[in-house]
Amino acid sequence: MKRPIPLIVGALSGLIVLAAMFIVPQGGGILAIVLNWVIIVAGAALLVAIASLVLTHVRFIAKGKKGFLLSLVLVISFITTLALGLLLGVDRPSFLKFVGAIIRPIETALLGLVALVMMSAAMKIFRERGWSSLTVSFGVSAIIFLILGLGFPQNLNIPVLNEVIRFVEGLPMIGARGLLIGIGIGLLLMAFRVLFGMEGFGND
Amino acid sequence: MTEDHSELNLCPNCGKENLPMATRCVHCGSEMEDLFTIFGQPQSPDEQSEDSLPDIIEEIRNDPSLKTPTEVEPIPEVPPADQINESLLNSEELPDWLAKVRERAQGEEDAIGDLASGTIAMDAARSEEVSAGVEGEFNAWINRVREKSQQENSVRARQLPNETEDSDQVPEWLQRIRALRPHLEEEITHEVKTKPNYADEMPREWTDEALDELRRQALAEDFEQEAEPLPTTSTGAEEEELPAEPETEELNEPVQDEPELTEDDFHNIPDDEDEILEPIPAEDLALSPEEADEAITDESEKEEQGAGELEALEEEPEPQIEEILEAPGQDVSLTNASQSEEVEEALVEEPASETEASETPEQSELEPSMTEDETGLPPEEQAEAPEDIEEPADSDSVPPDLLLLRDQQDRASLLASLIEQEGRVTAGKQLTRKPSGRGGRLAVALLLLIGLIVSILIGPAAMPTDTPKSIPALALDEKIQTLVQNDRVLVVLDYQAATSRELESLAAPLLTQLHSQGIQFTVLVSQPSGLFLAQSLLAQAGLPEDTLVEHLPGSYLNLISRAMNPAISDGQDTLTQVKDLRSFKLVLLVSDFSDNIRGWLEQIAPWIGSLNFAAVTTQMEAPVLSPYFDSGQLVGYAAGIGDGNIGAQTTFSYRAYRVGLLLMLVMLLLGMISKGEEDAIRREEERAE
Repeated sequence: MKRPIPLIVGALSGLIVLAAMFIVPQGGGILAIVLNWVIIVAGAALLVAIASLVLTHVRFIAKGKKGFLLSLVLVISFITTLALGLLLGVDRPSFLKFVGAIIRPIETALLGLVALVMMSAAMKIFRERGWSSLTVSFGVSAIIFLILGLGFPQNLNIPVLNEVIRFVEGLPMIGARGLLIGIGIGLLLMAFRVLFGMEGFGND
Repeated sequence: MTEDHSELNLCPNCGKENLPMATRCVHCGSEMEDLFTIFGQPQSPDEQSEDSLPDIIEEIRNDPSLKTPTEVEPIPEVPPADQINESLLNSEELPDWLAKVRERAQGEEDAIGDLASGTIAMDAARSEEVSAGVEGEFNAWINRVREKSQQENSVRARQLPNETEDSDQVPEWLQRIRALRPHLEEEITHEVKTKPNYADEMPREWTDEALDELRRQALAEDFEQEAEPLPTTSTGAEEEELPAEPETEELNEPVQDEPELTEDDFHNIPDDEDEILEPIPAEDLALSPEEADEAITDESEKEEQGAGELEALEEEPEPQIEEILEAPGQDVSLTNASQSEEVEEALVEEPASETEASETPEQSELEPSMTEDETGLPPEEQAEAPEDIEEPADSDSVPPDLLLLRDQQDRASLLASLIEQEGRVTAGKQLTRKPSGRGGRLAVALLLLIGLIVSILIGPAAMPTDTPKSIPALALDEKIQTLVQNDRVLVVLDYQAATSRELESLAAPLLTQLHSQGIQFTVLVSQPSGLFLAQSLLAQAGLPEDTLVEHLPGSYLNLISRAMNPAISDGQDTLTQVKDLRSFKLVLLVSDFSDNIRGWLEQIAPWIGSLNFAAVTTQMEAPVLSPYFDSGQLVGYAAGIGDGNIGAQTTFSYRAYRVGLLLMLVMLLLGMISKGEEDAIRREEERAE
């Protein structure tokens, strides 16, 4: 069951933005207003999301639910960062170093774990999926580009080999083009569905 | 079997006929249980006496005078029944138990037992047509036997269905039973319908060849037909021949000497046959001694006709007893006073025969052959048949017990196939080891970490300075070199801390070069974390800390309107100090997400044709940007370690990077090899199967 009001609002917003794109430069003012609304609403939604997250973990702590220590860490970190940001200001270099010194290693470590998981998945993909066109093409391309990434073939300085390497390195662009074309067509269809009330807003 | 009404019990009260199994008279309702009371057998455990049947049997077995003589004695001439009776009474060699029985019979008024009393009462109530006497009945019956009336002699309680169809061959008692209890008759018929009927098909004169043919036919037919005891030729005759057992015992010895008999031949009688036969003498105690004497007399007359008949008579007693148990009508015959004596003789003789059977195994071997005598042959032919039947018709023929059913044959063939495969060489089943997920992942992680740690500990290796850059990176360098002093460059930082190391290593040299050329920077960050990341980047690039870094909420969406209409930014307060994008010569997008770069190129670039866009991204996202570089929307982009000319950076370990790539390559190859090995093992197993 779709609610009519959100559906109408969403469709009208899309039509206005689309019309403003074609009415240049008069449509720029309308587009600026609408996009500012979008940014403000998105910021408000981000604040709501942060508040919801904090309240959820506070409830976990209050109920003593399993893993509430992690919730406690989250709440303490949030309160500390918020307090320091309000007191010191977000542009203060010391504050920025403090935050950066925490976030940077954590996210880097997470990226390293992603590398391990991907490597494990690369090993298991043949056992799980068997020999198929997908797995074979994946394995061959991975081996080729890992070898190229090591730099050994390039250091040989063989002209013919360099041409081959150049051709091989250009192959991903073919796939990228197809990917981008698919993304563009998908976005267009999705936009039409949203404009005509077939997708998106208003769902219960 | 007789055709008169002797099979039916006569009520001692009203004298009317009742079925043999009736315990109460159907006419007057009086109890008839007394007719079935066995003389000498206690009615209850409290009534057990010293002269009970087991004691008597035990005495018979232990009596050495009743042991089977070792030598074949000539057949004694049977005296008349009266003489035998007197001689037995007066003989000093009588066993103690028999003397006790006879003393009791003389001393006690009711020594003959309740059963005999019942039969006496029955005799009194019988009509005059029965008064002809037992002896007359015996003579008539024996005459019928000698007339070889197969139809009269082959009828038994368990007759074949086709036999029962002929009403002339069915005794009267059986017809009455069928009339009263048709269902029971059907059940009985169903049970024995597998028995073969040889009565009408048998040749009248049996020769060795005919018997062989008979046996082959029997073997060819259903095994169960052979397994079941065959019908006797003359039930009534055998009943009458029970008293002849003393003579037949003496004739057992020549039969035991027959070498052709083997235990495996015709052994279709269960081993517990003797157990079934044991209680029979107790029932037969009601027979009067006179009846036994008469039977002995008749038997002696038979024996005079030839040795063959004697041999047949010798083998008949046990089937007779068996028939007494099986045939319902036989109970009626027990009520006859003459037959009660006959059974008494059987009681005397049967323990002796059992003793002989226990002492001489050969004697027991003769018992199965008795069932072969029950093939419907005439008595005279039966007397000649046993020797032939007891011999295997064909030495190569399969005994009935070894005939295989279809299911048994299938099982045998299956067993044979298994035995054939036992010696074949087959590939051993190899255990397929499935590596546990935890162990595998732990091994991979340890291998990677060890390699990286070792490579890091060895020390940073300088990246070759002559490492060629990619074409987009070279195009980006050329574009930067075209910039002159005081040109404005907008730097948009849109990446996260996780990829900051890679992007900063690429972007910092570019910023340093731009700063060296006197280019004015404007730094925008689209993410909150971009503020401290920009600070780190500026520090690495050697730029002053007071360089303006602004947060751009909504990323490129915030700049679309200004890109469309520069007048908007001039006349309104904007969220950033970036008023007009057209004042910038170059927009340098530093992002780890190709979609953000694509948004800039697709949403902003079309409105500002003179604005150049360049990108610094990760090597993972670089392929997506290649079409935009190929189309000219990007003047150039730098991605990866080689494009950043970061070999000179001390914070970057080129050796660790290469070791990491090498380990990933090895793991990928291991995954492929393990899969290939698994497939090879599976194919080998399938081939082995």
